Amino acid sequence: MALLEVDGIDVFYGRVQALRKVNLTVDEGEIVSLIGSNGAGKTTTLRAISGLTPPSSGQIRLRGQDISRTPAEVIVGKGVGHAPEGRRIFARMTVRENLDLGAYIRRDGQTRADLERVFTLFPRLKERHGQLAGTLSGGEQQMLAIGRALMSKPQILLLDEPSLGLAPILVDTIFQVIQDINKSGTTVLLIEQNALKALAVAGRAYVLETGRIVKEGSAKALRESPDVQKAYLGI
Amino acid sequence: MRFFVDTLSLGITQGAVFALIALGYTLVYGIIELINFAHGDVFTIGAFIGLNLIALFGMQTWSPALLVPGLILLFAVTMALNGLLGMAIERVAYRPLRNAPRLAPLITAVGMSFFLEGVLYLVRGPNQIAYPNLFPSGSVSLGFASVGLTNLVIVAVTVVLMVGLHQFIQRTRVGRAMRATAQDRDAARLMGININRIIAITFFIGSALAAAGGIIYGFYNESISFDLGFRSGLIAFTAAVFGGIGNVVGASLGGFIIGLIIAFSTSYTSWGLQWADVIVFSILILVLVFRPTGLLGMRVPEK
Ligand SMILES: Nc1ncnc2c1ncn2[C@@H]1O[C@H](COP(=O)(O)OP(=O)(O)OP(=O)(O)O)[C@@H](O)[C@H]1O
Ligand SMILES: [Mg+2]
Repeated sequence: MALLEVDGIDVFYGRVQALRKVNLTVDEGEIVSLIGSNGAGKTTTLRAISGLTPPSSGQIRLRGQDISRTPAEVIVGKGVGHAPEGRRIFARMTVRENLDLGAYIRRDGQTRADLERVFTLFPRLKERHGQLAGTLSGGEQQMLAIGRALMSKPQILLLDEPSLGLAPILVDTIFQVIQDINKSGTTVLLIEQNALKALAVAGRAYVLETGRIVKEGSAKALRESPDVQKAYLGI
Repeated sequence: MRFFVDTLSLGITQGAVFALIALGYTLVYGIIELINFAHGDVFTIGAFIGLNLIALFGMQTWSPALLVPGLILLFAVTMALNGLLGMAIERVAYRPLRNAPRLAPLITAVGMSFFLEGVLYLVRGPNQIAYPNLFPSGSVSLGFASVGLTNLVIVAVTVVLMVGLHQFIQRTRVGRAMRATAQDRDAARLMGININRIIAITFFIGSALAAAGGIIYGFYNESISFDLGFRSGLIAFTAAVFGGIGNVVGASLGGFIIGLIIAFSTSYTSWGLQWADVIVFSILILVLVFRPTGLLGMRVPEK
């Protein structure tokens, strides 16, 4: 059974339909990437999975259990961590408080180890733990958003354009960290505009166009597909 | 000097009540950006609940030894009951409109205010109702002036409540969740925070603090009436805006400052109370025009 199955979902914003019969699956241990141009519906797909914009039809299953109508605040407890578009860190709280909020649902008292893990992945956050998050640089805020999502100890991590607006060197760091996170056992569903990078770290990928999945396959196959090269890789 | 100290003590004492009400406005605004116009009447109801409990248990005749634990219990029970009332109001009047345009809950809040005031009028009538002061009377002499014991106890109780609230918001898990909800509701949900629960808790706390303010008002002024919350509520709202709406420390500070302004402008001029209100609302307008974020408005940019 796949860890995550998105099964023919439609999502509307008011009368505007953002997703049409979107299907995708993510198996345990994978990095799967979702690519597509602006407005294709990538963010909406992640918001549907984490419960912020529930689908009007279709189903989303986590380990076979239907979560399509489950509220967002409950879904996180089932193992879905979401570092949302625009980072959405709590600007008027310290780095440490943001990370503690990431562990809000944890009742196991083991959060200390996860905090250490986040600080190992992002030493910069450790240095700045007492600083207000709103005063961090864009890159640091992105690290915080990922670190905060990790604090819930997710089985699957949803990342929405983690490299957006970062200096090239930092982009490499972030992609390295994503691979590290995955190696230590967390499944990753990654949205990227930087399709080249995304297809380099992902095993499989989906291409979304105006609310529909138009292509899917191994990252290698998509990298070599002329359509994808032309539309997303700038080759 | 004596006159100055009297005025100062009057201002701080009245300011304490405004501050306790202002906290409810600011907490609720901070979380759901609603100006809860019914909050002034929730304050009045708190005062009446306290009065009824005092009468029910005949607390006026209690011995001084019993009175201290009795007063603590009176505050606790009144605050809890009023807190539940606040939660109920949120549940029936505001929650159904959570996703409606912002004007809808605002109008509902005005309606709720009229409703509560109407109910109070029906139940307790239009007249001033006597309120016993269970705080110690007497006064402490400072040599050049003296300060009422009641005033001192009022300030002490208020400061304890404010510090408690501040610690709760800054140090506890629920307090942190309140701040997260105030800053970014979707992000808070992604943390696993149940927004509806946090909003309900916020209404509980705001209404409980207003109840404490209500009892204190009753003790100090020794009479209350059904429409008490109208003026006090508006002034406290001004205090909240003055301090920076959404900011808890600002609301506390704003309450005291507005209390002092009213006391000094009525004691040192012959204008009377009506003019004090003119001054207060002029301040509201000036703050809204020149510094909408208030004294302690948010300074950290949201990137
Ligand atoms: N809150 C909203 N209200 C109305 N329409 C929306 C809303 N959010 C997104 N949409 C619409 O839904 C569609 C998909 O948006 P979405 O944000 O999922 O795209 P995206 O693939 O993440 O784009 P980008 O790469 O620019 O982030 C777009 O046409 C967008 O205009
Ligand atoms: Mg997007």
